[in-house]
Amino acid sequence: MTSDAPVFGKGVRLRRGPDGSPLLLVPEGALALNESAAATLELVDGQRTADEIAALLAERFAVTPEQAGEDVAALFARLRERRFIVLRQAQDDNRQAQDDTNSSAPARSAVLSEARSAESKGQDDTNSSAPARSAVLSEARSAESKGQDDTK
Amino acid sequence: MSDVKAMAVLCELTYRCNLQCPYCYNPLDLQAYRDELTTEQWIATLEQAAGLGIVQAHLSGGEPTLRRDLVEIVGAASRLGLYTNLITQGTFLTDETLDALLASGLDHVQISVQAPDAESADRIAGAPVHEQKLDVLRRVGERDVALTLNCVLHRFNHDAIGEVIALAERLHIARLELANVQFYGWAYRNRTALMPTREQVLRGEEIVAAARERLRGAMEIVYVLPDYYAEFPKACMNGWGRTFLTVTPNGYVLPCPAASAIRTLHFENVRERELGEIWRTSEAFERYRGTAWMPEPCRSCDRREVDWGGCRCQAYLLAGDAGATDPVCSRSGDHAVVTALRA
Repeated sequence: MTSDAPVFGKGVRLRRGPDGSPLLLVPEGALALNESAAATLELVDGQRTADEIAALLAERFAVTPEQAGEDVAALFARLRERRFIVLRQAQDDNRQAQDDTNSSAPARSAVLSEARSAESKGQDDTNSSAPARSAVLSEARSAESKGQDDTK
Repeated sequence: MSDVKAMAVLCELTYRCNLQCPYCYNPLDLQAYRDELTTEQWIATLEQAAGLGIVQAHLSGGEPTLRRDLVEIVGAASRLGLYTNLITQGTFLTDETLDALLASGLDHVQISVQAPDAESADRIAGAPVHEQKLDVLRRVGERDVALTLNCVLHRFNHDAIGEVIALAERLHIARLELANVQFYGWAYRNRTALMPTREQVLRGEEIVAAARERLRGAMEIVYVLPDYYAEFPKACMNGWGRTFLTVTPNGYVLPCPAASAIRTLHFENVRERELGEIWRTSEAFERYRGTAWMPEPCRSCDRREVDWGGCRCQAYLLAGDAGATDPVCSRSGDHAVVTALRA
């Protein structure tokens, strides 16, 4: 587990569809997320490390810290392959990775809170700390199960 | 049908373009599209798209930056919560335009190059624009916006795939799309000249596979397969009328950007009817939606919900019937038409 803070890559936005379902909008596509993946990604702010995100999820949902840690690591590993998630203090000197650290996390959170609450199922859906959500975190593994990124 | 859910709209803002790439998929009768939607009509269309549940707007053409109201359109889409993607050949992206687009909320820009070197690229584009594009790519790369570099592959540049990847590395591109030419519109007319050879395709796939491995985590390489060399057809548009729709410059609503070639279908226009209604009920969308329309061998095929019968436009162009199995499929009775076209 790394101590770097995950942050959304450039052009990656988390939001809810009009039916309330969580989506990760990416360059030229959209991934349908399940609620547990969404709960994880809603905690991505460019400050928290993956470990801290896992700890928060373990507090909120009925999963062990070990299970939460594994699920969060698996989700981020998959999303990092396509640079939907990058690490804020990336060790490599790749310029793009450095640039990605500039795409400020607060702006992403703002996008999230602007999700169209009027059209979502309930106001909790747009709240990043929604306590009412009863997601089972282990579902995070199938975050991309319905993903179709070739919408073009 | 529960799995029908409009996700993305492609707004072809204009078919005007300053380049003359022979692989363009735009229709041949470009003059029929000159009566373009007004700014207000595009914004109303985007509002209807958002109302339909669409979350992503691709703005393309032609060359979309030739629309003087592009910034306004991007701003409207962005305010509606739509993810905005600009697909451009890039040469009109001055610093001023770029900054205005980003301030309006543009999320992603895709810029094309025709080849890795100026001589070949300018010959393919029909204009001396390659150096200018490299400058634009650097300036976009310096800004806080996601960028995809696109290169359409065909016989005249397929051998340079490795050099295209090297160019992308030099430009610190995080996402590279290498798209084998799709034979629609002008590309269909020019298909004999553009068709890559099997050797080119095989070598290209090896180079892409090796580059993906080497650049894992640093650059995503999207590789669009060459239709005519495939065993099975692409899942065109993720299925007809399933997730995607296109609006042409003059307002016609199509299930696929190449569908205006299908003369046996009647398409409706946002000037006359609301976008959501067209999506839900128009004859053109309903005709090939789902699997009920399928003939054999699709009907009983275990891949019918994998590739959705392939591409309706391709079936029309190659088999003369938009309701036929895509002839690209090795199980199609018309498959010989495709093998005969291979170089």
